[in-house]
Amino acid sequence: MDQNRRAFLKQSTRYVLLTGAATVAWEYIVAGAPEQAPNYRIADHWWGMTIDVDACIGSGNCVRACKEENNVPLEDGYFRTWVERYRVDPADPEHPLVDSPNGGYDGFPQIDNPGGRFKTFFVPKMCNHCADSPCTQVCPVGATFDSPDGVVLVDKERCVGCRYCVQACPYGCRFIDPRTHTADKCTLCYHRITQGLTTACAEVCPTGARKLVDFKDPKDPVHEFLRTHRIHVLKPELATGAKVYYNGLDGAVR
Amino acid sequence: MRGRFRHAGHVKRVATVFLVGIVAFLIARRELIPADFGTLGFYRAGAIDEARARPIAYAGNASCVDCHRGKYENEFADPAAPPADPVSDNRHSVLRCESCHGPLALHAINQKKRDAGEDAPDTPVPLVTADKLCLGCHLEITARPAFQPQVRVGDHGDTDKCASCHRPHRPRTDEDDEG
Ligand code: SF4
Ligand code: SF4
Repeated sequence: MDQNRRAFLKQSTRYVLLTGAATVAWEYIVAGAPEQAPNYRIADHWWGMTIDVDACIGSGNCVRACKEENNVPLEDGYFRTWVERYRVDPADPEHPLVDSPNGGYDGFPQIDNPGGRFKTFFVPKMCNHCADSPCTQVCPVGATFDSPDGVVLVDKERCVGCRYCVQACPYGCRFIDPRTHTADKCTLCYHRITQGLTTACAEVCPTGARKLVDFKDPKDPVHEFLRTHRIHVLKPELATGAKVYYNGLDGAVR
Repeated sequence: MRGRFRHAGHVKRVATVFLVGIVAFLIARRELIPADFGTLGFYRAGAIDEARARPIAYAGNASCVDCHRGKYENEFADPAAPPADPVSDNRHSVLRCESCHGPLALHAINQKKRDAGEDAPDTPVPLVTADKLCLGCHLEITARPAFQPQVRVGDHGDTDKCASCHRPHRPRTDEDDEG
């Protein structure tokens, strides 16, 4: 036990030393927010996100910022977050037309909506950081896990690229990074949120449709938000404990 | 009596094979499983630190305001009646700097270093006037909600650049008339 702890501490120190850039970034970046304490206490946080569907204007800012921040392959098909557009026929809500050209990275083209007949809206999607995540349960080598502060992470050093988790995620949030052949997905910008910053997608969202929330922070406006809005998560019937809460989510969205 | 242990040699040999196997397994297990695996759960605890220890691309608005507060007030606020929040007096007040100017952590870090007399490259903030950027939010397309001001290219402002009429930080053109 003691041995383990020592090794763990030693390793932690090594990473801190190794990543001088991140440390420097932290020092200066958070300079404008002195209330952010340098010591991140993992037990004090339980992270999630709220997405206001009505506020999303489909700018694709989040998709571009996410790829930039997290070094996601720029090719189509590799996304940690993406935006879908729905066109729902009110007479046939079971079969909406959904498009997401390049995940919304280059914006959306005009499509027909003759006489405004259809209901149309954008839905940003990302990893739901499920509290009972199906993806972590199937990993045979313990390479993907729920962190104690509620973020689902991938350990690239351990991942053997077996793709079980990619198949297990009911939301299609994972992919295999073609450069490393290991699983990749949204980390909720773990490197940012543990240093007092918000996620890259929330930072650049022009309408504030996406918000990082900390459920363990009693002062977080999320508590008021959840109380005063009609909230839904994706696929609640799967009991994944999804922690991305949508305001104004239409029943046509899967 | 003797008959009973007649085959003890066989048993010993089998036992030795098992023992060697078990020891080999324990050694291999010790070598292969990282020391911090399982301390917090069925994963390597060090992976959490690794997830934190990555460079940042977007500096965050607080960091921008830290150095550019003066600039902000000139650009965004009415000098006659400065609002409590220097960015609230404008239609683009909800935008964060990096929504349009792009990721600026490098700029912030390098500038701080330069201010401190250290050797760092100059990484200026790009000026943003590209129409493509404006249209990313303001082009009229299906599903874009009605509250968002939208234009059809060609129907609005001929072929002039957006910025020839709209100042990016204070885009409302009726603002001057309103006083
Ligand atoms: S959304 Fe998918 S990848 Fe994210 S935690 Fe849930 S199951 Fe895992
Ligand atoms: S692809 Fe990697 S993270 Fe996913 S289940 Fe396989 S080993 Fe685990």
